[in-house]
Amino acid sequence: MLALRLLSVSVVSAALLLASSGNVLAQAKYPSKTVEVVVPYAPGGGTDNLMRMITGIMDENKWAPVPMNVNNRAGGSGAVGFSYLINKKGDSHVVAGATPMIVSGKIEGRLPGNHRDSMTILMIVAIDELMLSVRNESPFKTIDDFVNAARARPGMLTVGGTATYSEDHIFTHLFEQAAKIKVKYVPFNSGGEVTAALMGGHIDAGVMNPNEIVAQIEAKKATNLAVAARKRMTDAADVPTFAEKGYEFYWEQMRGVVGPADMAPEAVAWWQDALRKVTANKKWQELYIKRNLLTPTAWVGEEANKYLDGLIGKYESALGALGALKK
Amino acid sequence: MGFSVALTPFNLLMATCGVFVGILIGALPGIGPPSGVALLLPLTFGMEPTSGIIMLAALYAGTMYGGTITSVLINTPGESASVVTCLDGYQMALQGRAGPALGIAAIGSFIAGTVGVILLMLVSPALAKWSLSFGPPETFALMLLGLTTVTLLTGDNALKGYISMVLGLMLAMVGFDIISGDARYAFGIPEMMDGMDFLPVAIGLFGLGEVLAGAEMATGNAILQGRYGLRDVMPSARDWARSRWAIVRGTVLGFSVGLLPGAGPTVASFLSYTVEKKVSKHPQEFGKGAIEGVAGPESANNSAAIGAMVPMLTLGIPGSATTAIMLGGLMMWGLRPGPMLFEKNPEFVWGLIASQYIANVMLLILSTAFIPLFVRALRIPYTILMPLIIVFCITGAYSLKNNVWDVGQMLVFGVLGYAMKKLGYSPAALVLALVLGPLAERALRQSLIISDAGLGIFFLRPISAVLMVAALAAVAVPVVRAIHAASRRRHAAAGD
Amino acid sequence: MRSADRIAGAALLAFAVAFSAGALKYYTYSGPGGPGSAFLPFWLGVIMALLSGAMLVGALRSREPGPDWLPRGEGLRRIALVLGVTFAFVALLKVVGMIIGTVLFLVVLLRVLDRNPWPLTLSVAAATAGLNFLIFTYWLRVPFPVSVFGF
Repeated sequence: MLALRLLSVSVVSAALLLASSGNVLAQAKYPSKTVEVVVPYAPGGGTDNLMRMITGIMDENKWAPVPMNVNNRAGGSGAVGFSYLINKKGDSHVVAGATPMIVSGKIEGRLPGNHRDSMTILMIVAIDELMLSVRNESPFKTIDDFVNAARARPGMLTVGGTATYSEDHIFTHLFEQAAKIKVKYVPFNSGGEVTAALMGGHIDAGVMNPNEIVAQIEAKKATNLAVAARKRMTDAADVPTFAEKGYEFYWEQMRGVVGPADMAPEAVAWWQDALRKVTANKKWQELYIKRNLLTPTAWVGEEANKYLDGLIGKYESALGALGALKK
Repeated sequence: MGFSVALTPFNLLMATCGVFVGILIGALPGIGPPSGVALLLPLTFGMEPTSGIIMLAALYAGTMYGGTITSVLINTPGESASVVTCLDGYQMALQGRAGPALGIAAIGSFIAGTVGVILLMLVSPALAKWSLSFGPPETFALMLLGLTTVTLLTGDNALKGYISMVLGLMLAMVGFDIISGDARYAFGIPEMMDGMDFLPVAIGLFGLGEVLAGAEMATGNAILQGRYGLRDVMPSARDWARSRWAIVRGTVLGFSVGLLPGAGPTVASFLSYTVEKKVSKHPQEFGKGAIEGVAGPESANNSAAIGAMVPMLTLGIPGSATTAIMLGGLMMWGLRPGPMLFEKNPEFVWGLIASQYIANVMLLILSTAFIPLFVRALRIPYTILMPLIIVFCITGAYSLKNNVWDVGQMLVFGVLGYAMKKLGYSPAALVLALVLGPLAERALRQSLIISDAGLGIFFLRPISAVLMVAALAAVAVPVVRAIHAASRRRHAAAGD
Repeated sequence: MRSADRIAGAALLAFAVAFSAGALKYYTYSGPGGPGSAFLPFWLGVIMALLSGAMLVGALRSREPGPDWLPRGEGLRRIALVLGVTFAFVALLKVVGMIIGTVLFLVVLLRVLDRNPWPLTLSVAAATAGLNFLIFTYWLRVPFPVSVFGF
């Protein structure tokens, strides 16, 4: 019988796998049972990588006395996963990987609340910069080249990015305003598709997170024209900021960990402590921060909340200007 | 040089484990290659990078095959790339030929995997360049060509076939339109905003739909019982003669499609099926247990999986969800896939390529050994098997995204699948349209943004022009033929 | 009975009209660079309306019996039972949990529908639920819905 065969197969492999993980159950005030780590996006994305890295480091160092169960609850650009988290009000054993959606979701009407009223931000662990990149066959060698060409041919240059009303889209909009130009924004389904279209020469420039383009930069096949940060990136100091070239705007994506509203104080403290240890870990700094060219942060509590508050106005004006807030 | 890295006893053991666990994970509906690789990735962190990636590559190959098993045996696809295998694989099983169906799938997968690895080894950089030349216009032209072949899946009643296809395209409209940002036909439900997920739809239409049709009678669908010795389940010489060119075509087609950003194994398997039906001398047998309809797509999805590694390794661009996860894994080992990987970490790259090959050999051995066991599942009386299949469908739909919503969706499509089957519609045409529709629409609109709504973009670029002409011909030729035939009939009538 | 094709044709026609109308009402017909989000849905609705209209006309004219709409007698009873139990299972999934739900579901179908002997029914149900728990919950850590008992 198939069922019986499957049973024996699964027993063997389950034993095999469990033997290699070895969970130690200890009694502490928090956490007292398995913690569900929600990834509101599909496997393989930025948030998925982040949360698997964090739980991986915690497992490796045995910092968590209970198993960390990473679950992808993807859907509606994060709406499904974050709604799930919001509904877990008061449950200290659920956390999620945070993106700016925890702020913009409420503005767009996709989430019932935000970081202040419906969630507890535990830590903002890194800032992912956004930059404008071109391939090396491109006639544009500097950001000025690009802006001049865009002024000469308004609305003709194409800029690719991920999705509509997304961080990439807002970036393009802010850039247009700052440089007083008009370009054509071409939305793609994922960062990988933008990179492919850029390297194939199907679009003039692409909006990139550093880690999406760094392989091409190392191979000297692409150039970053400028980054929308306040100061140059430590690991890519040759890339100018938009502001220093006279196109003043700042835009970035935060990455962090968030819990539901009314999380127990000891749970918040436990997570902040654990995340501090993670962000101080060498593997984290080498393999996550450096590899992905992120700007490390370790903002907790009011500092994190204030940062997120600051995003509200930016999203409202940008999304309003782009026409995302029709109703 | 790669083999000396890969052929250590420990790595061979990892490859075996990977294939083994992979077959199991693939056979569980819902837990497909992406989640399988994501689940096991953490386990590999303690290992040498080479051992880790060998295990993952083996796992990936195993899951691709595991999905085939359930498609053939119970008409329930374990993962999306084996949906098309239901069409003829399950029919073969009903005729008592589940063994040869699984056997030819294993052989086809092995050949496709091997050829894919050789191509990956020899011509990666050139292929990567070719894959980049596919921009939105080329993608649209290819998808359009794919959609024209839906006419081949319409079944006996052409009108109902077209209705099925258009229904599939309409369902494909549901969800975020990434160009405008509108959540079309989502009614404010977050789960609807990402669109109709393909796998719950397919599990419902094929798996549950078939069960419901069988549930009418206490005996269920009569499955011819055959003998299930190792030799009885192998494809015969005649099967092999019919399948061999299907395997070759599937391999080449699959690899080429796998290279393209955003396409992947599922699209490859569907295109291969339609190609096989098109070139076949007996197209009427398709959907009724034609072995080519299993051999071609099963080869195509395997070589597509390897083709997807070309852009990942040479360009650092993930070609599919699974490669995106593997890419994440590579980065955690401190390797950065991309143009420099071949120069900086040659031992790793050759190790990976060799491990792909080893995974293929292991897969062939293990799957052949297991086929007789799997096929015996069909001996379970239908009254017991039927409720088990329903549980299987429900668990699978749930574990895809850990969401009860998908289970509901699967149920609705199960009822629809039952009705379509009873009334002579074509679930196959519906799912093909659902797979290709979103890709086609997105590429069309991206192209038109780039060209400022000029249609010239599709005809002025060489690759796109060729594909467009082929697509238009595929539409025009049958129409012209029909008109010609009609006029001849009129002539004949006038002559009476 | 050619009513099946008539009913399906009429239903599809209504669906197609609503689909097209909805597209025009809620989405934009032309966006930057040609077709907008309503373009394709609108035309798909139109094509579907034509196709289903053709089928409806054909079915109304035809004298040949079309396919049966529903099975009758014993077949209908079985289908209704299987569907009913399955829908109940899914509806109650969040209350009874996956594991207990699986047991109940299998017991009902195996025993009530096909009168399998009790020992067989119970052992199949228990084995399936156990296997389910072992693979999905324990090994793959899939967060199944759980009952008040915590599994």
